Amino acid sequence: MAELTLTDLSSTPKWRVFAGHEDVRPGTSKGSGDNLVWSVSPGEWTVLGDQPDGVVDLTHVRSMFRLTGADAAHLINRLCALDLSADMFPSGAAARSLVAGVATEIVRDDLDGAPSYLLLPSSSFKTYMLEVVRDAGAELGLV
Amino acid sequence: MLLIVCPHCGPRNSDEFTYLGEPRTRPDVNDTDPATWRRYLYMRSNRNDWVTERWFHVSGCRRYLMVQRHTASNEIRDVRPLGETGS
Amino acid sequence: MSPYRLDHRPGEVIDRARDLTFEWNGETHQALLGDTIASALAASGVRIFSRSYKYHRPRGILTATYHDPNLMVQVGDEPNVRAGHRRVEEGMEVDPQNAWPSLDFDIKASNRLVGRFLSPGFYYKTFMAPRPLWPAYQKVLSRFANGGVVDPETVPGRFDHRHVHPDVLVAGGGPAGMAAALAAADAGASVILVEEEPSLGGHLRYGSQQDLATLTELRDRVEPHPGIEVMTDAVVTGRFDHNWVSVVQRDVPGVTERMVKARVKCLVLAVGTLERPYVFKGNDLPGVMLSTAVRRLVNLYAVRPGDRAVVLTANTSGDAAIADLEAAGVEIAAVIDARTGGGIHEAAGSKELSSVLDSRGRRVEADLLVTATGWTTPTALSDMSGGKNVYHAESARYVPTGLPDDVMATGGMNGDGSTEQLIEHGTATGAEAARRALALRAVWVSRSPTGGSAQVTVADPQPVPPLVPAPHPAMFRASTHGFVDFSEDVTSKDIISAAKEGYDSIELAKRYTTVGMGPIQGKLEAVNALAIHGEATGIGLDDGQTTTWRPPHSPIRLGTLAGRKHEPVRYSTIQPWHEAHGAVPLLAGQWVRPDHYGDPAAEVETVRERVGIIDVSPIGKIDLRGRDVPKLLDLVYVNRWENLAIGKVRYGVMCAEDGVILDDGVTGRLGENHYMMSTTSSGAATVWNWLDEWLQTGHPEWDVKITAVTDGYASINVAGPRSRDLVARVTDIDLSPEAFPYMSVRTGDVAGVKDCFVWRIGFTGELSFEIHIPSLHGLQVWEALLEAGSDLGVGPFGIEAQRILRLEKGHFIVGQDTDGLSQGHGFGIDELIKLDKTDFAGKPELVWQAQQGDHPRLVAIQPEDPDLVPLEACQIVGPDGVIRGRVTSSRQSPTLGRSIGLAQVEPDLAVPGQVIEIRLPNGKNARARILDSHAHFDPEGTRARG
Repeated sequence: MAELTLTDLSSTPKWRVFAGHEDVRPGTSKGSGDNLVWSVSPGEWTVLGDQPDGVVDLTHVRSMFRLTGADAAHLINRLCALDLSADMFPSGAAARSLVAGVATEIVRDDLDGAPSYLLLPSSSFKTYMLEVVRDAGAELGLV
Repeated sequence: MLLIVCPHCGPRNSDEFTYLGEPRTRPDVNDTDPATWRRYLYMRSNRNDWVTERWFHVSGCRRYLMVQRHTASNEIRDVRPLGETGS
Repeated sequence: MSPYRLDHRPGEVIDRARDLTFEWNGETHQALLGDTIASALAASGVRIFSRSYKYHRPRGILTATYHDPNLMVQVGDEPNVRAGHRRVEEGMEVDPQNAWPSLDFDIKASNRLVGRFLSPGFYYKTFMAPRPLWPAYQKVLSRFANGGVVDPETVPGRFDHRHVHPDVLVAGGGPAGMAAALAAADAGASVILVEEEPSLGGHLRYGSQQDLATLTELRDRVEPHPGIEVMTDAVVTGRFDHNWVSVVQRDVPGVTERMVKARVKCLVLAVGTLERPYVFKGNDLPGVMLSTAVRRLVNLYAVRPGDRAVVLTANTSGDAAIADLEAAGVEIAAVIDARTGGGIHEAAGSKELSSVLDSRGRRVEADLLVTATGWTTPTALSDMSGGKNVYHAESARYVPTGLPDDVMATGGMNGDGSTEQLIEHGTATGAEAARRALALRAVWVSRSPTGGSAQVTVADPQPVPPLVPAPHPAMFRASTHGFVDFSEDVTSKDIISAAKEGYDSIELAKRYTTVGMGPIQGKLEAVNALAIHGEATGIGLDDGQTTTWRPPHSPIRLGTLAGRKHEPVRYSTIQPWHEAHGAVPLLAGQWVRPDHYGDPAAEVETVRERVGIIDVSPIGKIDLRGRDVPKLLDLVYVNRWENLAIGKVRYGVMCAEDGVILDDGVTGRLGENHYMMSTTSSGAATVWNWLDEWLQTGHPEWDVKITAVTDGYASINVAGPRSRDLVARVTDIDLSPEAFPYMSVRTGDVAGVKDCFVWRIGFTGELSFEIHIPSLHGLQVWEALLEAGSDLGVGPFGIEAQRILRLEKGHFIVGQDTDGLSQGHGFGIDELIKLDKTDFAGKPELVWQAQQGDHPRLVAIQPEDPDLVPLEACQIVGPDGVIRGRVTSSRQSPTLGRSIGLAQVEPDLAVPGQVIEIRLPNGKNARARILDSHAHFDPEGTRARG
């Protein structure tokens, strides 16, 4: 069973764009790892990595954590009501929902077959979010 | 906790939404009187029936939606984006 | 060995190799692992567990379950523990509740002698008047109330929440529930099976050898099934809209209690039935038990419940109890069979049962009276699902009907049958529940973003032929009167007299007598209460009168409802510096901000004399792009926006549609189609939503893209006469007054950080530059400013100093100096409100407000006594004592060396030089003078524009 891990990727460049990815529908993503684009709202996309023609720089607006492991969904469901079951939220799904009371973007991007989720709260919530995720993850062996 | 099937996000709990009630027609601001304007501001029909309401998916896609809900049973039979019409 | 402990029983749940020691009422007792508090004490021969609520009558085991009204005890500092359910732990300290001075001799039992004072409605009638005596009444009443002792110093427990989305949730782990779970899981549904007891099995657990074999077979299939999650010692406490189901898990490692919030596609109710107590004289004496209680004690805990028993039986459970008692070596003194006309008259004894008088006048010595007189369907969850209860006269119990398609019932709740028939019905129900759930899942998946939007057709739900409740004599009350509600000490006489007093609706009689309002909440007593109420009113059980079940079905700790502490807080990226430098934190909305660093007055002086820096990161920032941004600005702000030049910023005020001031701030134009809006810290989310609402519901055709970027920028306001010198040292932006005039915005590098923007505005009234830095670099710029300006006397200032500075300048704060009735005019911004604009939010109200002109005015005030700082919200009164306004802001000004304030006053008072009277909290009035303008300091504003 994959170990449950939490990685802080907050300094990864992220950009908001308003065109150019019409094939990525709201609630879905394309690509993986550092090469990811997703949408949680019609007409708006978030793109990872430096964007020469990016519009709004979100690098500083959102923190980004990667939570990986077999129990990752169980942990998120301690804090969030989203249905993360395999057919409702497979790898490639994206959402904005409430995590511990904070509107947070969640992208499922499995790594080497292990369930893995990116969590992107607004950056001022970073300390709080780390605290509640670690608190909820303590019983699940989060490292 | 109601379940609202957002046309953009799928099934979500109602605590992700804010409720704005039945949409009202905004009177012409240059040709209105206090009684008309305040009816627009404050008065709702509050029927025991199917009603079409506006909900804002504030913690999800941030889109304003039209929701058909029965005010007695809380049954929801249709949710669609603003401006989209249908059955 | 405890005297009442039996030799090995085949279904026993105790571990004879694991001795435990615990205390009851100050005495040491033995238990075995697996014992409940009640079973361990019963094994020691304890008969009295509590004293009753009103009459302080001794009470013993009735049901031996969670729902036993007589088994409420105190465990350590935890009150109201259910001794029929809670397992003994080593060293546990258990005490009786509601028994003073002792269980054996309870002084309040004298209430029994004055019972006429405790008739129904006793509280209402006796303690009505005179009102001044209420405190005395309360003291008396609280001594008599039960409920244990709460230690205010109790260490808080650890409480958890968990969200689950099972296809099928089965409430109840008896044979039908287990069969339903298996069938549903075999059909491919994800299943959660919830059982109140610590292990699955329901009534099979204390049943025959055959029952135990069936149980083992079912359990061995359920527990390892990958599609079933079993939650034992857990209870479904409520069913809410759209099958939102709450489950409380009581015994989970690491947490005190857990609330599981389940969005269930199909809910299966397999909650069984509860055995109903019988009402007769003496029915509450210790030694009078239900047949299921006796069977649990004998078969689960190997406890002999007495020495000599009388059994009143009307069903197979009573018959089985006779067999169990015989096997346990209890002498059966008499069997009274209600099916052949037998009946009971009274149970007698002083503190415990000593004899039974049957309806034929025969008196039998006994220390145990077992009753098996009928079943109650626990319809709470079916009621909460919208079902209706229909009285099935032949079986003398209610059955739920009219359940919605996403709720199904099976097992005893639905009817009776052999174990095989129950399992068969559970299997059919589980399979159909899975079919309905999987169809709904297909719909939800198709409507989820990754689901492909396929059209899903859902087959109609197929009914499962119901089980039929077995015939049973209708037995509620004997010819004598006894207790109906053991928790609340309500007797059958009380209910009948309430009905005679006119409480002919059961809902009213319930509240008047308090029947069903104690900790058991009607589970045992509701049907008896209805039947006995009907004796007096003539209303039959089939007339549709029932009480209403509401959540929670079972008690929930407040901590469980609260869950983990989830109170989101926000920090600026500069927060580590504030913490390291002694900042006193202030929680402003969700933001933790530095209120001050020790001396706010000195911080004010730093800004007025030299240069100060403040972390204003929480200021709302909204990035606006597109050709039509000016149109949107024109609509949401009261002032005009179409002619804002690139590089300029403008102050604006927003009003809601009712004309009330919503927010204020500056918006700057950074490029041809690029604007940056700032909002108040607390208004950021409101304004963001407000902009989206106007755009989406009013003008979807406009080209405007909105992105909230508050968190993307750390914001530092550099203020003071030396601010230009300081900022010039860390940036190449030309700061000269000609190149960068007041109310402008420039972009560039600051302290080596790219993509900063700076605007010249003046909330403090001093020359100031507000620098917005990509937030990950905020701390770097903050420290660079402090280092670069050490010779200029730079220092940090906090929220309190900023409040004083702005008050000295007379700048109002939305929500502090304005309120929920403050329409736009009257706050010094009248000239900003452009009523000749075609349209903007709240325009009609502002037109009418201006025409009417009787609105309050915001004025600057100075108390005549320069050392008097009236509290904010002090009222301003006229000579006749009538309220004419109120103080909205009030501080001592370090700059002026006197008290200053802002106030809302009625228009005729808003005259420069006018002296007003402020009513102080001590009742005295203080005089204050109204100033010419809002500014107490530098009214010409030359300092900020320099």
